[in-house]
Parts: sequence; C-alpha cells; structure tokens
Amino acid sequence: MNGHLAILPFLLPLAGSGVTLLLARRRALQGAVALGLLLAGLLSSAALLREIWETGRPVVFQMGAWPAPHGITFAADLLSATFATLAGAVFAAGGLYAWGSRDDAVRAQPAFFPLFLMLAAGLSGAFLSGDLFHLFVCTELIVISGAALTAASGGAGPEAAFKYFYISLVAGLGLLIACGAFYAAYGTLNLADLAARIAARPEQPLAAVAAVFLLVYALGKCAGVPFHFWQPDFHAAASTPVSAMLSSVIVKLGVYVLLRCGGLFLPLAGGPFRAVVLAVGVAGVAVGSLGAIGTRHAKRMLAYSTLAQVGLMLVAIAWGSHGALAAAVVLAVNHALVKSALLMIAGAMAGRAPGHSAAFDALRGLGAALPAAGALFLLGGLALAGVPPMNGFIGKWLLFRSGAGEERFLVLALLAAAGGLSLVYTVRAYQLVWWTPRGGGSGASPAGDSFAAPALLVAACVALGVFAEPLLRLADGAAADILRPDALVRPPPPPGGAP
Amino acid sequence: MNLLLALAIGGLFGTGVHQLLRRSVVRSAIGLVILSNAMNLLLLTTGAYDGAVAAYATLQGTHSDALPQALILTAIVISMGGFSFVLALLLLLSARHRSDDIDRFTELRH
Amino acid sequence: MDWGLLLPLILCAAGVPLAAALGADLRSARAVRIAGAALALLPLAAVVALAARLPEVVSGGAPSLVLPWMPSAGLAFSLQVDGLGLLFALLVTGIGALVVLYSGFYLDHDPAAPRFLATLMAFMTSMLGLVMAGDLFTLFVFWEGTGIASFLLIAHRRDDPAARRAALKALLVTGAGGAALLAGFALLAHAAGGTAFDALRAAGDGLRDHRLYPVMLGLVAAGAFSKSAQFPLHTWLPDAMAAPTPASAYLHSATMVKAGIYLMARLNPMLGGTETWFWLLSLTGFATMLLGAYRGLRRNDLKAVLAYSTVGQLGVLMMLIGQDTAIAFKAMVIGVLAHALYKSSLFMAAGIVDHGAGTRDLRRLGGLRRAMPATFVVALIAALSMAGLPPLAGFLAKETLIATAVHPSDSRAFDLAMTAGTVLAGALVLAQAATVIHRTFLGRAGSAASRAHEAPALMVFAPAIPAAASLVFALLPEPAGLAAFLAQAAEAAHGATVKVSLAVWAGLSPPLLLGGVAMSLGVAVFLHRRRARDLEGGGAPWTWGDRAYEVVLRGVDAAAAAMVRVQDGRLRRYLVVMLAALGGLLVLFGAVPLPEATPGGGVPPGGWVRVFAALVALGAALASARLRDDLLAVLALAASGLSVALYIALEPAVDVALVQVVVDILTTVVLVLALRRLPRGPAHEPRVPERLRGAVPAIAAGVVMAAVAYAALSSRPRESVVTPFYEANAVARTGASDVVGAIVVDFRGYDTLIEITVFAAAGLGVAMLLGAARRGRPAGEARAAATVGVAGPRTSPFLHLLAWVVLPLALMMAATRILYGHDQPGDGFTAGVTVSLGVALWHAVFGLAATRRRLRWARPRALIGAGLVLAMAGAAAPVLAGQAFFSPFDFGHAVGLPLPPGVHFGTAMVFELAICLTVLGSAVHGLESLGGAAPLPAAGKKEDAR
Repeated sequence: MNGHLAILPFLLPLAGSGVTLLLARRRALQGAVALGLLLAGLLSSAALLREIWETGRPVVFQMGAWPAPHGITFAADLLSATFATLAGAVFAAGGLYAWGSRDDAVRAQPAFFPLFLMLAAGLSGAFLSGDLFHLFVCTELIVISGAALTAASGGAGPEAAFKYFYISLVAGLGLLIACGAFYAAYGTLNLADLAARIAARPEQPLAAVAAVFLLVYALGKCAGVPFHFWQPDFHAAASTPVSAMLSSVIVKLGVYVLLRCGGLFLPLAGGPFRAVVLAVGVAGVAVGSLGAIGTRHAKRMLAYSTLAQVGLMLVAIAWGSHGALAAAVVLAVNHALVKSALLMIAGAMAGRAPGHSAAFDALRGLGAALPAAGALFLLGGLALAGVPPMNGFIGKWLLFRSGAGEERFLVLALLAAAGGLSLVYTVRAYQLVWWTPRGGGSGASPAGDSFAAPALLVAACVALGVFAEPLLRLADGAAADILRPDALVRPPPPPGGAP
Repeated sequence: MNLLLALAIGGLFGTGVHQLLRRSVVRSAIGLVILSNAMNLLLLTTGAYDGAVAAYATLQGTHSDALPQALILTAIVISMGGFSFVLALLLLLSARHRSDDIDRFTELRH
Repeated sequence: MDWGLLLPLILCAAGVPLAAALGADLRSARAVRIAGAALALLPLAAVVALAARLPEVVSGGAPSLVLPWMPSAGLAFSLQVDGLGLLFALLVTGIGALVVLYSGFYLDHDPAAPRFLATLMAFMTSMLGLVMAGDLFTLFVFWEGTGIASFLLIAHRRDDPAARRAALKALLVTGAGGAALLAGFALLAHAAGGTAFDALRAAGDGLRDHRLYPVMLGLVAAGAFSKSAQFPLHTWLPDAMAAPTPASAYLHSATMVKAGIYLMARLNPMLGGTETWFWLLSLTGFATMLLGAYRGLRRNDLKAVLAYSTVGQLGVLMMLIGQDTAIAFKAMVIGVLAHALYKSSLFMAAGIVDHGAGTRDLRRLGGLRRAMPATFVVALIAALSMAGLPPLAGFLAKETLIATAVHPSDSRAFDLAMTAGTVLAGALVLAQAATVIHRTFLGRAGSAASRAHEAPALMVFAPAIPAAASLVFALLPEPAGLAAFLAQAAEAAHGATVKVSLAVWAGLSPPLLLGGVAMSLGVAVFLHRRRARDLEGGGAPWTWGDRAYEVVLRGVDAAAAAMVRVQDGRLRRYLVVMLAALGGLLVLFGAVPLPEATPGGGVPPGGWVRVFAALVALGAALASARLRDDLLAVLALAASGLSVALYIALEPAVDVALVQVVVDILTTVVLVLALRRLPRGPAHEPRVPERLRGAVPAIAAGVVMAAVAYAALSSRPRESVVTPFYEANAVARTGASDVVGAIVVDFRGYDTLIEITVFAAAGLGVAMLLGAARRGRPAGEARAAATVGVAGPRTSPFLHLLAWVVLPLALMMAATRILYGHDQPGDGFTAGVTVSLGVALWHAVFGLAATRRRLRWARPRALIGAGLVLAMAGAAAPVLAGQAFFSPFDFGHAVGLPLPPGVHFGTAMVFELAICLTVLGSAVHGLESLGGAAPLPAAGKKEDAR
C-alpha cells in the first residue's frame, strides 16, 4: 500500500521520539537511533517525491481508512512532498550535527533527541496534512517541542522560548478560531473539500474572519512583519542544531501554508490578500536586512537575514504568477539549505569562542585557525546574496524575471538593494571572524563541533546551483499544483480501501 | 438570549486579553487560562446543531454536534500542556530576574 | 557545437586545484618561483589554443558552443568567440601567463603565495569565461566570479585593515553594479525573449524602440561603469591598489577593469547608436578621462599614479564606444591593446621597484637606473608608449583617438570639447609618464636607492614582453594579419565593417599636428609640474564617489541601528503591536460578521441556565482580574473554569465537561504550586493611562469575538458535512456508542496521538527546565529538599494513610475508564491525569525521593516512551493485517478471546492505554518538577545570549 508512503515521513520520527525516550539512559545508542530514523524519514519522503513525480498523481492517505472528508487526509502533491523532503534533508543534517555536538544543551539532555524528533515529525506532518485542524495539532507539536529545546539551551534560552511560546499560544488560538469559523461556515475541515466549498460559496458569514485568522497564523509562523518580534530572539538563542532547524525549515511552515492555502484566501479576499502579503514581504526585506546589519551577534544576524529572505518569498507569493510561485519554491528550498549551514558554522565557531558566545566580539579573529570553515561560510554568504553559481542565484534570477515580466520596478530595486545589503553583513562578518587578527581575547578552545554537516549542506547548495534543472522542474510542477488546488479535491480512493 | 451568550464569551476573551497584557507574571498566566476557556466556549458555538441530548448513539433526540466537542477535547489537553510549560518558564525567569514583572525580562534586545 | 572552446577555460581552471595543492609543499622561496613558472604554462597553453582560432575568426567566423543548463528556465551555458572576444581572450591569457610567472617571484617569501596563485587562476578562468560568453546569463555568472576573485586578491594581506576596507569597498561598489546589471539583463531577456547575444542582435531595433529602453540602458550602464571605474564610480579602484602588485597589474589595469568596456562594446550593436547612448557614454567617459589624467599627476605613490592613468584610459575607451563610428571602434581596439601592453608592463616594473627598493613612495625613490638597469629600460619603453610617442603602440592609440575626436559626430559642440579634451588629456598623460620615469629612475638617488637591487632575469622578463610587443607591432611594416584581426574585433563591436591600418606614418594630418601640440604641451606641463597645484579638498568632483560611498554606508548603519532598537525586548509591546495588526487586517478585509437585525436561530439548549453559567464564568474571570491577592485570583479562576464546564455540560457535551473539570483542577494545582515559588516583586499597579491603553485591545478583542460567537450561534442549525457520518458509523464501525469518544479515538484518533505527544513534550520541557535548574545545585541539598514533603514540614500518619488509599483508587478508576472508555464519558487522558494526581499526593506526603523509591513504576520518561511506542505499535498492527494504518481492529475478536460484553480488546483500548501512560508520565514529570521545593537559581551576571 504505497499510500502509506505519504505518512512515513512523519511516522518514523514520531516513533523515534518514543524509542529514544526509552533509550534515554544509553546516550550513544539514542543518538544513533535518532539519526538513523531521521535518515529513514528523509529517504521515505524522497521516495514519496519520486513516486509523485513518476506517476504524476498526488499520493493521498486517509488515516484509519476513514473516507475523506470525514477522516484525516494526508495529501502529498509535488508542493507538499518537496517541502517534506526539504525538511527531511535539513533535519537529517541537524541530527548529524547534534550527534557529534559537544554542547551541553545537547549532550547533557536525555530528552534532546526525543524532542528533536518530535519537532521533525510535527513539521513533516504539517506539510503533508490535508486537514486544517490536524495542521493546528502539528503546529502545536512544533511550537512546544521547539520551545522546550530552546528553553533548555541555557543562556537566554528560557527568555527567548518564553516570548516565542507566549506569542505562539496566541497564534495557535488564531488558527483554532479559524478552524472553528471555517467549520461553522462550511461544515468541513478537509482542506481540499474546504477549497471547493469556498470556491462555490465565498459569501458565507464567518468565512472572511476565518480567512483573516488563518492568514495571521501563517504570517506569524513565517515571521512576517509585524508578527516577527519573537523570531530574532528565538532563532538565535536556541542551541545550534535547533536554531539551524528553526530558522531554515520550521519558518517555512508559514510560507508553505500561504502557498497551499492561497487558493483558500483568494476567493474570500483576493485583492487585499495579495496587497497585504506584498506589504508584509517588503517590510520583511527591509527589517531583516537592516536588522542583520545592526546586530552585533552572529546568530542573531543570520536570524534577521531569515526575515529578509522570507520577505522575498512573500513578495513572490504576492505576485502569484506561475513563474513567481515557482521562484518562491526555489527560494524556499535554497534558503533552508543555506541558512541551516550558516547557522551551524556560526554555532560551531561559537562553541570554540570564550563563553561559547556567538557575539562578534567573542568571535573576532577566531577563524584564523579554520580557513576551511571560512570558505564554507563565504560560499554560504554568497549563496545568501544570490551570487552565481550558488543556488541562491537561481531563485533570484527567477524572481527578477517574473518581476521584470510584471514590471514591478520599485520592488525589483528593493530586492536588488536587499541582495547588496546581505553582501554587506555576510562579508563583514566573514572579514571579522576569519580575517581580523584576534585582539588579545583568549579563552578560545581549538576543539569544537565538527563542520561535516554544514559542509554537506553547502555542497548541496553548490550542487543545486550548478545542476539546478531538477529543482526548477520540481518548482514548476509545484507551482502548477498551487494554481489548481482542485487536484486534491476528489482524492483517488485510498489504497487501503474503505471497508 | 444568544446575544447574551455571545457577549459573555466575548467578555471572557476581553478579560483574557486584558489579563494577558498585565505586567505580573501570575496575572498574565491567568489570562492564558481564561483565553483557553473562552476558546473552548467559542468552539462549542461552532457546533452545527442545537442539541437536546449528548452525542450518544443510544440516546434519542437531536444530538449536539460531536465534532467541535472532539476538537475541544484535543485543544484543552494541548493548552493544558502548554500552560504548565509556560508556568515553568515563568518560574525560571522570575527567579533569574528576582521579579515577577514581565517588563523586566528584557535580556534579549537588538 | 565546438567543444574545443572549453579547452582554454579548462586549462585555466585546472590551475586552481594545482596551485592550492602546491600549498603544503612550498617551503622555500625557490619552490614558490618554480611553482609560478610551472603554473604559467597553463595560460600559455591557453594562448596557443586561442591563437589557433585566429584564422577562422579573422575570416569572419564565430565558433560557438551551447550546452543546455536550465532548459526549463530557458537558460544555457553558451560560449561564442568572435574578433572582439578573441582579442580580449588573448590579452587575458597572454598577460595572465606573464603575471603568474611574475607572481612566483613577487611573492616568493609570502607563505600565502599558493592561495594567491590559486585565486589568480580562478580569476583568470572567470575573466576568460566573461569575454568568451555567448549570452547574457553566462556572461553574468563569470562577471560575478571576477568580482569575488578581485575581493579575495585585494585583501590578500588579511591583517592589513586598509586592504580589508578596500576589498569590501570594491566588492560592494561592483556588487551593487552587478545587481543593477542583473536587473538590466532580466529586462533585456524579457524584452528580447532570450538571453543569447544572437537573439539580442536580432531584436536590436526592437530593443532600442522598447518602452523601457532607458531603464535597461541605465541599469546595464551602471553595471559596466562600476566595473570599469567610470566617474563617479571609480572610487574603488585607487583603494584597490592595496592589492599585491601582480593583482593590480592584471585585474586592475589590464583585464578586469576592461570588463565594462567589453560589455558596452559587446552590447553596442543591440543598444548603441541612440542619442541616450551617445551622451551617456561620451560624457561619462570624457569626465573620467580628464579626471584620471589630472589626478595622476601629483600622486606620490607610484601605483597611485598608474591607477589614475588607468582610470583616464578607461574613460577614453568608454567615450570611444559612445561615438559609434567606425574610426572610433578602430581607436577603441587599438587603445585596448596598447594600454593593456604598456600598463601591465609598467605595473610589473613598479612591483620590481617596490620589491627591490622596498618602497613605492616617489619621494624616496629616484636615481635607480644604475641599481636596476634592465627594469629601467623596460619601464622606459612602456612609459614612452604610455606617453604616446612614436614608434610605439601608444602613439597609434593616441593618433587614432585624436582622429576620432576631430571626426564629425552627432554634436559639433562635443566634437570641439572632445578634441580639446583629448589633447589636454594626452598632454597630462605624457607628463605622468615622464614623472614616473624621472622620479623613479632618473634624478638624484633617493633615500631608498642605496639598498635597491635588480630583480632576477625571469622577473624582469615578464614586463619586458609586453613592452617589447608594444614596440614591435608598431614597427613591423603593416602587420596585415594583426590589422585584419583588429578590424574583425572592431566590426564585432561596431556591427559594420571597420578598416584598420597600423601604419605609424600616415602622412601629415590634423591628428599628427594635434598630437604634436599635445606632446609639447605635455613637456611644458612636466617641466612646470611643481607649479601645477593639486586641488585637494572636500568639494572636488573626484571626491564625490568616496563621499557617496561613506554617506551611504554610514546611513545604512544608522538605519540598521535604529531598526534593531525597535526590538526592545518588551513582550507586552510586541503583543500589543501584533493584536493591533490583527485588528487592522480584520477591518481591512471587512471580516467581522455584523449581527443581523433579526436574530435567527432557536433557543439554545439549557436556556437561561446556560446564560447564567456563562455570566458566572465571566463574572468569576473579572473577579480574578480585580482581586489583589494572587491566591484568591487563582481560586476565582478555578470557579470560572468550573462554570465553563457547567456551560459545556449544558451543550450537552458531558465528556468535554468532565475533561474541563479535570483540567481545571490540574491547572489550579499547578498554579498554586507555582505561586509558592514566585518571588514577590514590587506591586506594580498600572497607572490610569496605562490601564486605559491596556483596555483598548481587550475591548476590541471582546467585541470581535462576541460578534463571531453571535454569528455562529444565531445561524444554528447548520449543515455539517462530517458529523452525520460520525453518528451513523460510530457504533457500527468503531463499536462505540459515544460519538465524541469515537471521533477522538477512531475517526480523528491520529489528532489525539499528536495531542498526547504535545502533552508529553510539555512535560519533558518542564522537567528539562526546572530539572536543569536543580541539577546545578549540590546533590545533598537537593536530596534534603526532596525527602521532606513538598510543603516542607513533616506530614501526619493520617495523610500517609490517605495517600496509600487514594493511589490504588485512582488506578482502578483509570482501569475502568480505559476498559469502558468507549461507552462511558471519559478516556485515557482523564485516567492518566487522575493517577498522576494520586502520585502528586504521594509527592506531597512522602516527598519526591521517597515517592521515587516506593513507586518504581512511576518513572516519567519511561512511561512516556512506553506510551508513545505502544500507541504507534497499536496503530501499526492493522497494517500487518493488510489494513490501513490506524484503522480500528479488534484483536479480541480476531483471536477469539472470551471477553465480558461491552469490553473490546481492540486498537481503541490499546490506544486508550497508551494515552493513559503518556499522559501519566508527562503529568508526573511536570508535577514533580513544579512541586520540587528547591529554589531556582537567580541570574548572577547577565549571561550572553547564545
């Protein structure tokens, strides 16, 4: 029953969370099992993607074989499968990093890997869920496991987790309200079913309110301005393997929901929806780029830059043409890989700094002994700025092409400026850490976390830049899926077969 | 009558938000609980039917809509878990800052 | 498909890993020199490979290679070599070979020499690709490559702050230009429907008449100007002289700075020939020419003089491209060739001087002709060519330039200005050349002359070659091949036939006369150079670029500082902003449902009792807000929660009400536990204005949610798509008469699985937090804190008895809930919580340690893990039976167990048990952490945010 392929990507890590809890006393084994299951999850999602690509049909699974829309639907089309695979890849890299990490927030926490796996399961589940309320449940799993991991990172972790969690609870209420209102308006929670009914009868009382709360939830999840205040704190304060997940793939949940549910909003509020998303995206680009330049802390810098990068995706989503949506998908994939790599490098450097601090003052000149890490960081920075032949360039080019097609010159100018600014902060950081002579400040420890995981990710960035064709075709298909959500309205009968 | 109910629910939300924005840690936490209670009531109102009896197959008469109730059951548990976690965070932070004033938790800036 | 075109690129690219690999073994200076010499063979081979193309190209061919790269984006990797491209390609590889050879000597004592050589080869590859590119996309890829390489080479001396600044400046200025260029290319590609140069040429007129032509031209020109150091974007080039001299000779005079020239020449057939084009390029080039010629005169740094004269020459070339006449492009190609030859030669000679005399400061140099005669001769030839004296290449360049100037163009006025300007510039350049030679090699010996020594022969050989070349190709009687080749190059840029003759003596003509004027003028300037005052000072136009760069950068930093100040760490402010934004969106979308005039809907079940319950809930909540004492507030909250439960019970929704009660109790317990440990901060009663501000979002939220609730209530009864299915199938398909239970366990059971995972995560999180806090403390103290009851004092036997009784009762309750969970209100969750409360009572009575000792099974993590695994296993079991994951399955029935009626040993029961275990573990985990009596650590010094 290959329908099960649609649920393996999150079932494996979920089972892993339980198993690793039972193994809490045997740390080495626990880490190995966690890493193995994350890799298995990656493989399953890749297989899922391949299946969809080859058959050309979405893979749909009805949990418990209860027919849609009554049971929980899990629907994997190119869009969701791409994001699930992306999450799988980044989480596998994160698991690899955490496995060898010397950070106490990772080593000394018997519950680290269980929570890490819950985080992964929640994210893949959210990507693959075809049910609005299940999206809520998965979101809560992401929120609480992420917050727990961050809170246990020591330092300012608790404060960051507190602010994030507080805001997320409110955002969670928002999604819950959306669920209730959508149910009251259309009597169903199945996304595809909902899309069809909304298209049929957009003028329901409560429909618009539901749409707004769903929109706000999505914007909050992808840290769209002004729902972003939690983000720099949270993404920077988490222990490295966690923040490398949060700021790369987790933040993409909001982007995914906007892509996936754009079809839900448009009938309800087409004009304002696009205008709002565009405004939020532009604001994000500005706030993120400037914030990254203004802050004096490497991980915060990278967190701010996530705001800017997500802003680019929001702009593309707001433009909404086929090309722009494809660009958004490409940008999302590339940014996830680059940002996780950069955060891992920054964290591994911080692990060698006095007081394990990622503040630039502590990192100055630390890289002199590690030129290879510097090369990785520079490559990542160039990818972030969209310099060829790194993968970031492809997304930028697609964005520029669609922007040129729609003659959005002001926005284009802003995007170009954003590229320049990202060059400013990444290159400044690079010069400071790897070129500036270390000013007396000792206490640096030579040994620290390995650069293997970020190296793999950067290699992926280069590969996706030089051999971008598969990703481009994937994005093309995903954009097509977005533009006709009816692909999932009448799901093929679940392979399990309703009894 | 519905209007009164709606106003009461709205009032709960309002009180919850107001408490949430208080400076005192405890009051803010209380705000969270009030909000989640209000949320449960709101979800209940999204039920499709004016039920006369609980949703039991064995009972005759118009059942109350079972789905929102199931959603509430899930939501309650989740918010309960989240609440206890928030409380732990608040304990830790207020101990660290020797104060129960949320406005003092500003270690993370800029 | 001419695969041979890849050969030169591959040859150069091969140098990168080779040079890098050498890294470890280059111990001695000698090794470095040999490495350089060996590495130089690669570009030399490339020269040969390219030269082999000459016949084909001279006869008008343009071999090309197009490899599909990203077909779905219409992008290809495309190479094409015509006259123009080949001219630049030969310069890049030829001079490249010499520079690599030279670098080996120049950096022979530099441990980082391998890095330098590798980067140099990388640059060479990019530059070669740039001039061989057959479409915009490929060109841009290599264009950015040259920028990065330049960044790395300028800051070769990592520890030199000036070098770091210069590198950043170069990267940002050219990078900004690159961004503009990319935008321009995107527009071009959009307008022409393709990126290939052939497609663009085909679309030529369409582009020139395109509505957006000015935008495209502006963006592309911005890119080209930034790269080719046109006023006022020239600002980065003088700073870039911080690079080691070989890099300056190669990137910053011979090749990279000509990329912009190349691009504009390349695009001239597509975009050129318009008024805008003419004025934009002519004026920019004119200004740049004069600026460079003038500024170079009074520099005291040898390299600075050369850098400014390079700027001037770049201006000349840009101006020539603007003319779009045949003779102009003749002058352009000759100028490119001549300048590349003499300037690279001069730079390398300057490097030798720097190397041998230990300084480039003209004030300390002088009289070196004895110490380094060979270098002197080389530099002299190159300088004469730069001065434009016959019989050298520079002479030809200057003559054709002046010929272009006097040649009538679109604007008479500009012709006059251009003539005068070129003559003046020629004079100044001659003075510069004379100054360089005089102040370095002639005159009385400077302070540095004493320890100056000649460089090894091979090192002088490098600059000697181009110097000799600039002499030779002018002396040869009409080198027809070369002329034809240059003609091809000029044609590729001009788009029409160009006649090129290289005769030094073209008879007595206006250009010759004007050249003579320029020469004598130049001599005069040189003789009175001390009087020529150097207008330093703020307002001077040549400082605009620097100032703009400073201002922009400082402005960005200021804006950034302001931006991060918004992130002030005040959570309540964040929340208010977000709520405000939410409200704004609700208004913008007109989303708030307005109640209809005629309230629909029937009387809600429970009638007035229900209204009463709701009002009590509200009242209690308000009371908890008003009450000063925290404990009382918590109790009021509990009351509010209970009346909410009553309301729910009246829906009627018994299960939910029950859970609500349980949760309400648990919440209260947790809150009370927490209250004990909260520090009593100063009472901060908000002042009235603050209260009002706090009230606004509250009231707004209340109104909106009331509207939503009213809309939902008054539109009852509605159609539900799903509920009828649940009611119809609950008994038949899940064996549960309780529909809600059926949904929670079967229809939407997977939600519940995630839900308990969330609950587990919460418990783990609490334990991690407070446990970690406690772990920091000495063990003895922790134990002491844990052996007595939570409340501290010793506890009475009666309480012990109570505890002994309660726990088994709780366990029995739990068991029944799980067994009958499907038919009775209640489920695994309530079961788990009940037991956990029993355990919590043990904590309170016997203390943590004793409880852990006596209740070995109550190990939270194990319980949670077991619960999750059990849940997964139970859900996966049906798959083995060939059914879908999580579908209901009755094991008892399958294996025929004799079970009492009403009891089903199926997936449902397993799941309930799993829920119970997980919830129990998580709740115990949380309770024992929250209940722990150990004080939490206070912050000593503020830890750094990690």
